[in-house]
Amino acid sequence: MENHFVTSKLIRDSLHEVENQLELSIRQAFESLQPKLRPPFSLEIPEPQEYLELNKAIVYGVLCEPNYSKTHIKHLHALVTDGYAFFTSLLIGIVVELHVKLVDSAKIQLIWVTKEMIDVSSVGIEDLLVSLLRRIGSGDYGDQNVWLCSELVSLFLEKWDCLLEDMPLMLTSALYSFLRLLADHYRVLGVAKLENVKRLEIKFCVKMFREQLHLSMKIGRDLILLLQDLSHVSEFREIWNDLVSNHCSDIYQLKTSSRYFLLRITPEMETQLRFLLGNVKLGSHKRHQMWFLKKFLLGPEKETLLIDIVRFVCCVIHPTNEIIRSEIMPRWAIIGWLLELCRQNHHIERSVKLALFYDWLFFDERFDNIMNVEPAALLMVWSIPQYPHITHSLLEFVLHLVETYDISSRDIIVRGLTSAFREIERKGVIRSLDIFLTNPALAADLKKKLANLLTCHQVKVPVNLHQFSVPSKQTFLSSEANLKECSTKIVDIPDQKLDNSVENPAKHQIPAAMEAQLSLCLRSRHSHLRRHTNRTLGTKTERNDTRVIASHASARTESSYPLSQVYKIIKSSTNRRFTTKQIRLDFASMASNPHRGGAGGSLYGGAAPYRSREGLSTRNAAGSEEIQLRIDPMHSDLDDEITGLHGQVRQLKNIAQEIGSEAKFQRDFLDELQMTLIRAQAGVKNNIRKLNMSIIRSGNNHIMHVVLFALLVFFILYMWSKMFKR
Amino acid sequence: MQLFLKDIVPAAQNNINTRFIILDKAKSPAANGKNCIALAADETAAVHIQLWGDECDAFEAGDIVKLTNGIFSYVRNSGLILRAGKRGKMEKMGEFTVAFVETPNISEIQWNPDPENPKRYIQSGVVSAYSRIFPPLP
Repeated sequence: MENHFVTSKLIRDSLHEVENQLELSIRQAFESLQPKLRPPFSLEIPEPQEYLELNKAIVYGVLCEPNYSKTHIKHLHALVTDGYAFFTSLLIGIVVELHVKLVDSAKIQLIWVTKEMIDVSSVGIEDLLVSLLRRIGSGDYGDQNVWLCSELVSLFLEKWDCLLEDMPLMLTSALYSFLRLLADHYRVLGVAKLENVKRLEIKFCVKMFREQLHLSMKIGRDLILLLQDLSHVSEFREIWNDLVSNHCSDIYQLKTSSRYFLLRITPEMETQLRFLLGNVKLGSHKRHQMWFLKKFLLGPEKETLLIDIVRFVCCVIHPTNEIIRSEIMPRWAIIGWLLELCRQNHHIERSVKLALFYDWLFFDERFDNIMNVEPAALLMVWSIPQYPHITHSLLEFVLHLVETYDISSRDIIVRGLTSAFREIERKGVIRSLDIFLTNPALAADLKKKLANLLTCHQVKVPVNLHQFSVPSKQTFLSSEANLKECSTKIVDIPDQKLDNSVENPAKHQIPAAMEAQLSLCLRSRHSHLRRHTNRTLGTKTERNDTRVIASHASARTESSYPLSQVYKIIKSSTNRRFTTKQIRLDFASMASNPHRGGAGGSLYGGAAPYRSREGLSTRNAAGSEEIQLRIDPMHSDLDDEITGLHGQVRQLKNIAQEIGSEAKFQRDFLDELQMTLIRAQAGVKNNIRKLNMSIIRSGNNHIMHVVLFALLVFFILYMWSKMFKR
Repeated sequence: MQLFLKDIVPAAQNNINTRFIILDKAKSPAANGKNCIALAADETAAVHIQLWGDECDAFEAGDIVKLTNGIFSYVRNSGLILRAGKRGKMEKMGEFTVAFVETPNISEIQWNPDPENPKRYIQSGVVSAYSRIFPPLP
């Protein structure tokens, strides 16, 4: 009996290998707890340590004893108190560390127990499914791998409803995996055993697009990259056309999350790539590179893996600044090497280059990470001295994409590409784009093309201030149109009416351009106000003019914009080149206007309690959700008001912090309560079970008593009736 | 105690515990057909190792190997080599993830007895910076 357990039933042993600690620990747990793993199970609640050991033993039992797996799972269901979290984490460990060595029967059991864990929606099931998906090898058409692939598609189809309800994004991840695999499966021809898998994969993917399009689109822009390789497959033609014509621009905007790129990279490959790019020095990298090649990339079918690796390196591995500054192998060097590897196959080479530049095409500096485009930029730059042909071919490729890749989205692509080029220069990835534009090693027509691209789509630069001192009609029109969107909430009073109602003593002194600008800005919202005022004042700020503007502004502000804002902005714009007094004078002159405040003034918005002083009162701005302040000029001292407000804001901040800590405390308390409840529940469950058992056990005696008693009663009745008859 | 390769000194004792990554393996086993020579290294140094019997096939370039109770000594025809010997053992413990150096190579160092303590050996000169059997990749 002892000998029976010396070798593992879980993995194929190899002689010269250190024992795997995970395998050892679950095997030992199984050996020591084996008597407890058969019914009748102990009814005691196990100690925490014993609970963990039982979990380990059950994992080993489920995987190694297919005949008893149902018993083991029932045992687990009765035992579990942590939402299957530990059990699932053991399964994940097995998939990540041991899957390659697992014996066949254990692989079958692993899929079975995964389905069980989906049914109970165990804690960590997503990670288990992801790690299983990552186990499907690319370009591997051995029986084992094809079997795993078809088992997993079937699993996702079988558990569709459950997954959709509990973890919809898991379906999205599966879609990414199977679309990518399907493309590979269509590339190899004449492998009969793939037909069934292909059919299942198509069924799953089409179901996703038909029933859960919004989930499918969550993949982001790489969805298009995946689908274009399948657009020739009849089942996908309609889906492809629909996506391209209706949703393309939305999808292009959405950067694909890095977790999708991990799906097609096995854990071993990830470890080695991360090591290569985090620990190996450039110059002594050749042996590592060779080993990587030998392990993962040999064989004609493995070439498509290069696409996944390039996407992974660009979008997932983002080295720290220390690593970038050190002698560690940079990402561009790896990518240059990968590109060399696929030079023989033009189709793959094109796909790999597209994978490298894909984020360039839709680059938006607000959302996209510069690190995703950095490798291609540096590869082009560093290749110039020794391998100008690489730089040339890459630049040619990316400029060619503008003309050929999705013509209907050409505008988006031109914009993306231009901002990618500008961003790598701005962020200092490369010192200057001149390295391409004026380099003698590059062909003249290429340089011209690049220059054209960079000039034809100028990034909007801040408007030249001098434009506004001599404004043309066009600039006004454009800015007016610009503002229209933002000014809808502000009550718009025709200029003429304003001019009539408010006497404006200084109007004639304001240059027409300034006035027009001012009237524009007064009708716009805050941000625009600031900008426009800056522009207006920036041209030439003289004391008098400013003063005049202030009064002019205040005149127009009555029903459109709070004076304090105008005042503040003018003040900051002019760098205090005039005294506050001068402006206040003009404000004061406006104060006599009788219709300020009115009925609205007493409402104070919601901010009344936070008023700092008498001089400030809130008013509800017409249609605006912001709290706006207006000045009571008789008591006002703006600077004091502002410092007062700062104080209030600080107090509010303190209150917010207090609320935050209170909320945290309550959350902790709730968590604790929940734990206690779970424990109590488990206790009650076990007690009831015990009670039931004891009832059954002692039940025999009761029945005896009842039967005896009944006999006795019957006998007495009989005797009594006999006597009575007599 | 786990030693770095640079700290290993030739001695007639089976007491070296270390780990290294195999960089290269001689294609054909040596004349007697029972063992072969390989180049191994860690972060500090490189060394020649001798694989015995089925170890020759069990280990590949790129494997990380744990050596327990090994011995570093002169072997006729092979020079200074590190091996498991009869009492020690080599086990694979991983792959790939060692950043190694190929120089110095402690098998390519001249070792002489220490004049103060004749039982110990000390380095007296470098024969070759890199392995002469397995030259570094171009």
